[in-house]
Amino acid sequence: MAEIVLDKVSKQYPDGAVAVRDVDIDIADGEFIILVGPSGCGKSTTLNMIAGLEDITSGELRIGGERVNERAPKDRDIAMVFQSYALYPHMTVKENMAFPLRLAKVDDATVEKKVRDAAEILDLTQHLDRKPSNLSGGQRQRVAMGRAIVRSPKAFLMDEPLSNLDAKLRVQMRTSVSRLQKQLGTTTVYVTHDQTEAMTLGDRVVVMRGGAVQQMGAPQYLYDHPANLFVAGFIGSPSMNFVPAGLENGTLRSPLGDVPLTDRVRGLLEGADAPREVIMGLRPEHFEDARLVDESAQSHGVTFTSHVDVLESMGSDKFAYFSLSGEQATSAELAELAADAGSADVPGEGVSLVTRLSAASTATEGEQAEIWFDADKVQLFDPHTGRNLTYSGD
Amino acid sequence: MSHAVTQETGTPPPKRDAKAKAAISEGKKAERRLGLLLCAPAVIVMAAVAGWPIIYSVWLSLQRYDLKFPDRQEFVGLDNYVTVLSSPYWWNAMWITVVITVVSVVIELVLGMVLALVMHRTLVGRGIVRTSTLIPYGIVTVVAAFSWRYAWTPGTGYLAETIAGGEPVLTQKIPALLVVVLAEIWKTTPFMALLLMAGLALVPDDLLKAAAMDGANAWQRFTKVMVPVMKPAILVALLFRTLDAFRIFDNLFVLTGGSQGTTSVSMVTYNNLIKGLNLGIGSTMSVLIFIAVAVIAFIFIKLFGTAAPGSDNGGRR
Amino acid sequence: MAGIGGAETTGRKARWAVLNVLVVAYALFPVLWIVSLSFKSKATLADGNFIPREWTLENYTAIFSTTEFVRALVNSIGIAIIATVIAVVFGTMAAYAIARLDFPGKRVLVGISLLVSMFPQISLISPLFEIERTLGLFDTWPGLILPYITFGLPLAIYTLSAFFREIPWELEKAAKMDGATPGQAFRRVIAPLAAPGVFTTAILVFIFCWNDFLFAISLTSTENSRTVPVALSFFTGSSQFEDPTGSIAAAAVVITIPIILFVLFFQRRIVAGLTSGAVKG
Repeated sequence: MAEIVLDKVSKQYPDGAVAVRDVDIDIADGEFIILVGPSGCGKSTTLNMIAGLEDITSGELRIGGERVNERAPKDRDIAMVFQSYALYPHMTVKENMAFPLRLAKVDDATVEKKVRDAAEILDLTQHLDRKPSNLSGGQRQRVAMGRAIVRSPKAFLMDEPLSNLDAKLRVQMRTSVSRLQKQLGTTTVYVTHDQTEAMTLGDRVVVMRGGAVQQMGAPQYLYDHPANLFVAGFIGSPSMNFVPAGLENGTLRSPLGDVPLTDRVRGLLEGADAPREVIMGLRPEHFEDARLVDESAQSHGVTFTSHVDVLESMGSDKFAYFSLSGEQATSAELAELAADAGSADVPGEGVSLVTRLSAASTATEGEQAEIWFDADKVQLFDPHTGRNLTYSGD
Repeated sequence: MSHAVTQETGTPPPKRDAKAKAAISEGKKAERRLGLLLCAPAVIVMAAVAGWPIIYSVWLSLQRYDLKFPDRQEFVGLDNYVTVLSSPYWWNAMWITVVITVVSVVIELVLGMVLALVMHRTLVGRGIVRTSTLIPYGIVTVVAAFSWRYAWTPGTGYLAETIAGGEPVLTQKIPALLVVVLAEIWKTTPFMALLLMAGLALVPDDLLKAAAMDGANAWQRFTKVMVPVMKPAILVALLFRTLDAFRIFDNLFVLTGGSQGTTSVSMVTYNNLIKGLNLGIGSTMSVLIFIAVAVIAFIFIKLFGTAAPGSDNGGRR
Repeated sequence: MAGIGGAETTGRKARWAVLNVLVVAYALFPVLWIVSLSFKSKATLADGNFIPREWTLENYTAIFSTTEFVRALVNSIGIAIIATVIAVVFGTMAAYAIARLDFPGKRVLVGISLLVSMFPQISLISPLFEIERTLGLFDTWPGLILPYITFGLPLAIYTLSAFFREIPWELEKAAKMDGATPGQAFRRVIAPLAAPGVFTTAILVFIFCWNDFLFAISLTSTENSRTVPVALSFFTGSSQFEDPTGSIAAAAVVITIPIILFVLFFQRRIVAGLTSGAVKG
């Protein structure tokens, strides 16, 4: 077990393309860290550099305090779980799991014991003599995990290990991966493009975009205090609503009406050198059916009335969708997020809004509803730089 | 948002750095070296045994070079070409070759498609069918040719008695050619069928179901859905078989020996070269056949466009 | 693919069965005929019957007692095996490079092998005839092995690179992560996965070499290197038998045996090999 330090690590391909740029990450011993971002953001390249499967162009990688840039993967003592599981099809489950130990010339009795133990933990004991082709997706995934844990490496690297599973199994495996990591206490670097996995699994999350780290921190912290538009839009599901707004004399003019700046927001904006045109961000859960909000609360929020396009009742709460007239918020970050979600070319006019209301709400599809939101929860972003103007973190 | 976006964005998109372009990493260089090293033996053999001789044959074709009169070797320019191209034997052989090629390939395509559908769709005994169709493919052509020859030989053969009524079919031009075409078709239809079957496997079942739901009958599903999707496979099969049929030699050699004007271009060349020992004329014919094949291949590849075999080999992993 | 009623299925099965029998008969008829000929005695050879009235092994004993046939058989086996081994080894190397490595000239190599596979063999006969006579390779084993390798190579490269492209190369990374050296990764993970493809390719190349007639008849002149297909055609009238039909049939059956064995045991692989290189994969 060991800590992993990436010190200004960059990766540039021979054709000049930069895949990863000056990445600094300190991963503590035993920590579970998630690299997350849309495809092509450099997260897998970063993982492969830690693994030793790709060369580091510049910067330094230290595992357990030692520089390992030049070491071959086999000399780094780390194990990896691949998206495709990469199980050796010509070997049985047992042989697959024993393979790293055999290569390390571990004696037979120890191999036997370690494989048994790992199989026990992963509930694979009755499958040990089968070939991977005869296993279900979930079982294969567990064998891949087993092959990683048998030799008690310094760290685990996981490259989207759950993305080949179907939705239900994925949720189930997510908790078992998390439990396993806690149980073994091994430093783990986990790559995913799924923000739900990022939120639920990691001690800390690293959001990447275009080869650079956007923000690093505990999942809840990233959710509450996104450093920029990209992180704000990437973390959270359904994602944050973005509405163009203009700052005028301490008031925000937006398609949702005029929003008064609360003291907190005003204070944060003061040092931020905000432009006049901004993007206002609001999480779906910060909206509520106005009828369910008491007078005193209404006073420090904004109420607007609009036509409910679609209403989805989840039982515990309701999602109401609106489309407001006016320009959509535009920025490079938002365009990239839309492209990644595949919604870039979904036709839609005006500003679309997702709100999460209490189950008690009487909002009805196809009718007008009066909606309130908390003006103090508003986050403001610079449309050009993407910077969070109301960032209150450190 | 109408301001020009000149300000620095949160993360600049990856830039291409000219300096790094020149410096290819050690690993990359080693990979290139290994790649070239691994290909070298194959390239050397192909260049030495196919590339060089074809150039050499162009040179030989410009010589008067008869091994029966080796001292009279001299450079004659295009004389050999004039001789060959004005020879009725050559044109007869070319004509015969083209007829055999076209007739057998067309019939093979139809028959091969039927066979492919049978193999693809059959409910019973798929293994047996596939195994038995591989036998014509694998069997030595000469063996098959002898089988056909004896079958059509009066007195010896079952076909000669039952179908031809004791007539010696192999000594008459048209019937002999029919037998040759039959032998060709028998031998190579299974190969055609296998290639087409691989194409059939690429037609998604859902597509056929969708077409059926859209109101297409079986024939329309075949012509409007299956054939267009299979087009690359069909063209590959046609190309391979056309070039192969154009080289016809073994069957003719055994079945007719080239008598009654049933020689193919390959046989005429062989006769001039090995029997007549006339290297100059033989090489001229070799070059002409090479050109004919190149033209056929070129036409097919034009038709293929991007579906040409090998055109997707650039993608790795 | 419409209704799947019980009665209908039986009917359909019966119809398919009939079709299949037709196909099998089509494929086997000429083979059975030559087998039948080979077992006929001299007296019944020319009776035109499909099934021999008198069964005899005399044709087989006769051909195996002539050096003409035995020598040709040895030549055929030796030349085909050597050419196959070399073509497959070179082809494996090149195909691995094509499927796995990035290097300049890769497309050129693919183009060249495509070109060679389309080559009219007759075009090589005249220059090779002359070159081999000059080099003293005419009528020797190497004289045939060389062209066989050349024409076996494109086949090998095509088939193998299709196979290699299907190997999940992530396994190689996985092996490295599991602590394997590149050598170990190749030996213990990649080689076992590549073996079936290599084996299949070897069968295809062998069939090609075994089948060849044109090179064999043009580049040989004596028993020294004459292969069976050529020897067969020289049985005609030139041997000590008055009527060579029986001997030819017997010899034909003998050289068909390996093909039948391959087809019986490796049917699935041959189909995969033949189709993998030809259709976009």
